[in-house]
Amino acid sequence: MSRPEPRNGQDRFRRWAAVGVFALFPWCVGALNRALSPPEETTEGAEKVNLLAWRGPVDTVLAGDSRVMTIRETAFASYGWRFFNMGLSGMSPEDVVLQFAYARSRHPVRRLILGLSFENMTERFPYEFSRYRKAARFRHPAVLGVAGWPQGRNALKLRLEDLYDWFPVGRAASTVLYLQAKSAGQAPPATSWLPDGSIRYEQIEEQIREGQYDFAKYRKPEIFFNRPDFEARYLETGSLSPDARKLFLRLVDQIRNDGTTAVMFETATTADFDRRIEGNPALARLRREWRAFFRAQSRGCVRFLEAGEMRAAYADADFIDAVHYIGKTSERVGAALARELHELEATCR
Amino acid sequence: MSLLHPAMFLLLSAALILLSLERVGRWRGQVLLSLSLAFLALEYEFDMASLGALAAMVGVHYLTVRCMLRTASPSARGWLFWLWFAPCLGVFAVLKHYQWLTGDRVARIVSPELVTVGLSFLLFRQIHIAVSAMHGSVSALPFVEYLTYNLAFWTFLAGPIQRFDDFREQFGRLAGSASVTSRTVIGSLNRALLGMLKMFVLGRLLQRASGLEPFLADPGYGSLARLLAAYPLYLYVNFSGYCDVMIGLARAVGFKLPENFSSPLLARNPVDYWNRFHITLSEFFRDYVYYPLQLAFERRGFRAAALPAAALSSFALMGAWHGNRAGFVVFGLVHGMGVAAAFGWRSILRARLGKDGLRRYMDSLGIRIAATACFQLFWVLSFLPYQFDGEQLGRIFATVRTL
Repeated sequence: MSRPEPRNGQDRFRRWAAVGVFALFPWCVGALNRALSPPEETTEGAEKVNLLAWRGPVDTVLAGDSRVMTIRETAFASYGWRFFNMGLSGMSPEDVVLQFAYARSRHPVRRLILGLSFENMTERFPYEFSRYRKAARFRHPAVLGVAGWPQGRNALKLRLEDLYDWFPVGRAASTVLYLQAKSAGQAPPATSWLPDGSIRYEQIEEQIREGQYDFAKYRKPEIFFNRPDFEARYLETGSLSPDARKLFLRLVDQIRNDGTTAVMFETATTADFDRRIEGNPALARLRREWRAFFRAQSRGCVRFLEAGEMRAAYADADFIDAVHYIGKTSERVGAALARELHELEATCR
Repeated sequence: MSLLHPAMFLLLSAALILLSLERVGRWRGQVLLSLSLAFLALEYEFDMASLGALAAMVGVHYLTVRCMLRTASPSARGWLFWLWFAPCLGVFAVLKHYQWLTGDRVARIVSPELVTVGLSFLLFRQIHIAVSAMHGSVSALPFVEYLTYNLAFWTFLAGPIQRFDDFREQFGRLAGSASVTSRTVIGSLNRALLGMLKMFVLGRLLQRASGLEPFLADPGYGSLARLLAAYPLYLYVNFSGYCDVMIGLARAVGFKLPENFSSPLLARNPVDYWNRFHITLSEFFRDYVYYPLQLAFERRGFRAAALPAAALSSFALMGAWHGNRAGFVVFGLVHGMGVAAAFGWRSILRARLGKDGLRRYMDSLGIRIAATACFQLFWVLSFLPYQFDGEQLGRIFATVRTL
């Protein structure tokens, strides 16, 4: 504890100067960040947002979870479209819808491909299982109208998130990494994302080439079939998430009003995984209900494709686990989707 | 909400400016309480379940201690203490979501992060006040002081754990508008800024370097060293940086908080370490768990086993307090064994070398360097069960065997 001492002008000035330096510190960090433009964070969500910004004007967006992440631009580019894959692992329906809304708020998006998974429609709204609540800007107020984000304290929380634009205190580490890389003449840390937003599983591809990849181990349906947010939730509630239904209905309405052309497709799984769902009467019934729900939206410029309709594109050998595929299957799925989208666009209006 | 959040920093800056204003004068205590309530609203992200749990914890404790203060009989105060403490501990276990205790039978009520920081430290302050009231060493409990002691933003999240009488003395000086010299303000804010750099730069770089993936992707002795050292260093840098920020801020407005770290990387054994690392937590466990247990064992005739049994029990409890996995208890037990072994080794040395010989041994630079190096190895290894679960440890050991 300091001793009381008589105040004079100089002492008072020094005290307030010190307080001022402390209070201005984060603004200086923020200004430095903006001046240097270092990568903000190294989370997947933030990387995707940065990639989208660098991509230039995008007119065709693929949204979905990890099951669509390997679909590349090749087939879409052949129609002259500027494509971006917004897929991220672990996305909830709310995230997927917001991915699209976010892309649309920044780019002249005219075409949408939406990868849908039956397993991911158990969530309660809003954002119950989202891994990306804080990672990226999908929740920006500009895009929240689509998701019907509740007002009140959540709106206040969003405004608080906006402070990061003005006041990026915690990004000093990114700045240091950026300066480090720059002084060493290196590019910023490499990511597995390609410029079109798709991903390369380099390690897995190498292991497959060398015959070391353990397909049997990773293809066990149980790996994706024992999550508390999937079948346990379905069996507990006995229904598809009503909020997710509302969310998709709102999205489809908006797509129709905007004149966006959209192909929604059910992501396929291995035959084993499929049998596992069919083997459970409750899950099989729910999946029929799930398909019927999306089929009911399939009219005009919005089309829904069940997994069976695209079965020819999938080769069992390309599944690296029960639900994810790489290689030729990704190419064929991409080509089939681009073809569907092209035909739909030509005929729906 | 993390301290990295800009809103938090805005609040800290506002607190510094408001509490530095001479005009605030004798209202500084009330201003500190108001700022702390705003801090809690931000910290808990306006979540009513979490804020409700916090209000209930504080309200029930306050009423219990008030009853204890009005009760003349020590045994009745003891009963009141246990009537509060037993259910409180149960509620805490539920909120903390100890999986090894409850499995998945109990749903999460508040977010685990909010219990790890915040409520966990609040429990210490509440136990301290309740035990003091039980022993008759607290005579008054002014409401504003009580609330500010429990909720002050600079100690709420992660300490330092200040004792109530010390807090009251500082609170009185704060409200008394004692002058702070410009030299103190500059020194304190310099410390706070360095603390931020530790947290936001060094800490985050260490955090990025820690984790299992880099080691599994590129197994080698270098990546193994990184796997072992990065996380404990991150914890130290992050936590000591946080304490520097809070202690610096408080001192800049004339409020002295206890120190929490004293160069723990120079520790030569587990006893030395816990006198240097998270000092206020060690002192709490020493005073409220270790000494009473040791005394209880000795009174029951277990003199030889008293020290190791008390050390193991205290550190197992301390480990359990750190997190909800069984690995945290293992971490505590490992340190408990380390402490018991350090005491045992000291007794052996004293018996063999005598008092003067022991002093020469302790003062020897070579012994000090060797002991510190050995302890640092023990330290980083002890964090393995703290950082990783059983399955991850299995993968680490399997990979180490291939080196």
